Amino acid sequence: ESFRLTAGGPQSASLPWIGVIQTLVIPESNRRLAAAGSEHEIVWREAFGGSLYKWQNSLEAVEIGLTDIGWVGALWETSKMPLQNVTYYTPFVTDDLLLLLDLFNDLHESMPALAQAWHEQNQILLGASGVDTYHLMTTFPVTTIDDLEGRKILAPGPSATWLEGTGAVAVNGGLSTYYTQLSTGVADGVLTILSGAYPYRIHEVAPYITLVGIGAQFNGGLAINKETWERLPPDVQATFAELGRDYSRTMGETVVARYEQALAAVQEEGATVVTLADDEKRRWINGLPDIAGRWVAAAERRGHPAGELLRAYMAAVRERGVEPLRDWDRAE
Amino acid sequence: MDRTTPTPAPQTRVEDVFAALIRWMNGAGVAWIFALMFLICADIAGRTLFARPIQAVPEIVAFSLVGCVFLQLAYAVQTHRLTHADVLLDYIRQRRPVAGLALQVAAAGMGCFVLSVIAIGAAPDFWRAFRTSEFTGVEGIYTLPIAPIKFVVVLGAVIAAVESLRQFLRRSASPAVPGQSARVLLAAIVLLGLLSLATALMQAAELGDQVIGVLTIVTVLVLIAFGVPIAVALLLIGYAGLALLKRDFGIATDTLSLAAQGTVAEYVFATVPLFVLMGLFVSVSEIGRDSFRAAQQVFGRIRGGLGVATVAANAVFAAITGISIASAAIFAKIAVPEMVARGYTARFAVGLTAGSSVLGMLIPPSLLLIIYGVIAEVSIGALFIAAILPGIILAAALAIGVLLMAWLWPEFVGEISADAGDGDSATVRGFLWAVFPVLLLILLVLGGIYGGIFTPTEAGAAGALAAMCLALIKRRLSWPGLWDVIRETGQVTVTILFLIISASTFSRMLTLTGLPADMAGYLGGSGLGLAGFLAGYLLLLIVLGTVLDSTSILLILLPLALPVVGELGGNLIWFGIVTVIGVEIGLLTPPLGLSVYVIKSTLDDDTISLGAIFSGAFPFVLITLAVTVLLMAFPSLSLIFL
Ligand code: NA
Ligand code: NA
Repeated sequence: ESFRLTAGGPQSASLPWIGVIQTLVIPESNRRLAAAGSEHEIVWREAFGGSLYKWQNSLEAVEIGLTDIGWVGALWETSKMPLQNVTYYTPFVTDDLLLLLDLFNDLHESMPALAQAWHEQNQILLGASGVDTYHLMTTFPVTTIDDLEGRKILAPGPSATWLEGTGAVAVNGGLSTYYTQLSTGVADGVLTILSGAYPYRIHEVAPYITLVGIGAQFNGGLAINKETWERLPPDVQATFAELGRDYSRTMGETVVARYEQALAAVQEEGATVVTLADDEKRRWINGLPDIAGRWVAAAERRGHPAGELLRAYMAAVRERGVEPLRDWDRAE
Repeated sequence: MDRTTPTPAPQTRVEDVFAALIRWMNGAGVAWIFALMFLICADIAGRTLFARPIQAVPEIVAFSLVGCVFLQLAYAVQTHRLTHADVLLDYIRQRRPVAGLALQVAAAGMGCFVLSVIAIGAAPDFWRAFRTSEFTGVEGIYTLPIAPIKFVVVLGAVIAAVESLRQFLRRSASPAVPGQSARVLLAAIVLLGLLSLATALMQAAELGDQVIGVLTIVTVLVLIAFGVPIAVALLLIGYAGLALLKRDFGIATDTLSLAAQGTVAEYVFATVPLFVLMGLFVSVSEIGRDSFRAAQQVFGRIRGGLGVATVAANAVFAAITGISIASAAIFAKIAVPEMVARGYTARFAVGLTAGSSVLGMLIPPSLLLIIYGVIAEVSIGALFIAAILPGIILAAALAIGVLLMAWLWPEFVGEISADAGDGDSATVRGFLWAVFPVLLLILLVLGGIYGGIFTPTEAGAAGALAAMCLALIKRRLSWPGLWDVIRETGQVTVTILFLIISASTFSRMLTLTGLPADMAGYLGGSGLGLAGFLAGYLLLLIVLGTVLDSTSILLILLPLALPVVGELGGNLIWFGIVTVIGVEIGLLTPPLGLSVYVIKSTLDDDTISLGAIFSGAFPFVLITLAVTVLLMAFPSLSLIFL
């Protein structure tokens, strides 16, 4: 018996969280089903690159079943999925993406509220996705935090809060607009991920790269429409559940590899890379207001157990041997 | 049924109130667009002067566009502004009035259906957003509630659906076919029944996805040819195709609602109202005409010089407008009367005006290049720079074409005297004074973009505000004049954005058929090579350009073409330039040529027929085509400054 499934993504397959669906999930699903002697087969229809739906609608597209399986950007769903945004409100916790993805896949199993958030959107998370740690790319050299005073730094969404206390002005934008905004001087710098910034040639217009390490981020994941899921026989469900974990690992490894390549390539292509001095980084961290506390208060007012998640998340990080640079769960 | 009076029954009291509601909603949408201009300018000023950007502006503007479209949609339906091709429809109406009217009534029925589907899909969505206090933005920075916009979508879709229903029931009673309204209505219902039956049969037949894809394309072309508003045809067939492909009407309904709310909720689409607004302010302030007259005094002494002046003035105006229809509207008012007064034939004058309006979207800033940049994920700034030389080449080719035709083909161009100057010999000072305001606008817009004050998207707002100030300084803007300008802006906006929404729905459905991906695979794997692919692509652009608007073609074709170009090693910036100029040929070709339609409606002169404008523009279609081939053959012409 064959099942017709659509796999979709709102962005180009050159991005790891989309590309791994194409290179791993689609071919492996049928290979593993066949290897296990299953009589079920999937007939895939691929729709990547935003031709089926745009990034603003990645959650809804899976919810309504426009695509059966798709990458969902939870980072854009601050209203519907606040819990899945926790890392954006806890900067400077860890730069280890693989650890983070594994941790969130586990948390989705141990903390019912997390899985429930996806069910409420008529879908199921198969595997978490994320991005490498955030750094600073600027049109001017940065040695101390004071260099940022009054500068316009591109930091859309929750990342704007990471600039609080630095004296920089947060400016709105997106990966596709950064180059123009920086080259024309609308902005003087950007808080961004190297793996994403390199293909967009951001280092050409913002050649001063300061390795800050604001943290890797959990940004959503591979999700499947709940009705589609319930229609699938148990062996296909098991294959997808297993593929979900593999998706996370392969995606994480791809991002890390891209990060390393980008870091080497930008230097070869003339960008200046320096690591922010420890005491300056400490100043930045200490200057931040209680971002996590504000987020917990706002999310709990709307009935989401954000405080419980924050404590579970920070505990899980420490359990894995990482000492967060700021203890967001122990607000002074 | 009244067999004695051929006139339609007078409007009832309910209908009067309903019409007032539609007008009121339209006014609110119009005012909202005007307010967006000030909001964006406030953000620019805040960021530049006080280092205090208004963080939420991009999202406010994006969601406002959706609200504006749905507030004004019913008015556009009521005033028949939704773009439709009426060549075949006019013919049928003359030969078989009953059949012609039945087609129009059936089209109103289709409009009622798709608008109801949008409302049905959006209503639960609104209710959930309201119940859960859904917002956009980030708590602690800014949040905007979503429910009000979703409410406007539902309200707008319902009111527009009711207006379509009113037309469906009312239009059959037309003085053109006295006493036959029952026959008309019956014929329309039979037509709609046949369409539903065809869909049901196709569903039962379990057709392959690609077959469904081909059938939907053919059906859309047929519906458009028979005068169904293009947006309605695309939405209706997109919906039917989605239902067939997904074997689920619920998903199709939700997708229509998603497309209606999501497609134009992007900051870049604000360029549509803003550049239209700017163009209309330039028109009412008459600074466009002043600089045109100045150019005429420079070029007027040569045979065909006034034609060259039209091309030159269009090229200059193109540097401050993002859309060709703004150029067409302005120069129809300015250049055509001047040329006709000096002995040019009306056919040549309107044809040249249509032909040179193409420059408006090739020379930056350009809405089409922005849309291309967003779809292809390439730098819009690089596209703008790449378009400069091709724009100059096209302008030069048009000018040379005018001079050659004036010399070799006087029966087409007209009996023009070489000495066209009318005595008030231009002093250098007079010339500068006349062109100064336009130069100021160009400097402001281009300087602002390349000097880092604002983005190409924001440039429309800054340009519109500046053009409005110029019009006020020149005392050429009254209160009623201002209202006319922004109301016209609103109607152009809703027409274009609703078209984009419907084209997006259709192309989403087409993506699901796999047809574009398979065609791209076929073209890529056929070993045609880049040259062969380009030839096929240009042909496709021209064919689609006869019936579709430029934006829809880009949205449908690019996801198909871009991977192939990448695979064949073509540069995506260069491909953007040849795509935009190729797609703009469609502005001039029948049955749907938007520039030609704009000139026709702006001139409002019964002696100049649509056919005359299309045939007058034809030589310029050939010139544009030749330049397109030249740019395709020599990518370095587009990439020289990069
Ligand atoms: Na332009
Ligand atoms: Na056309």
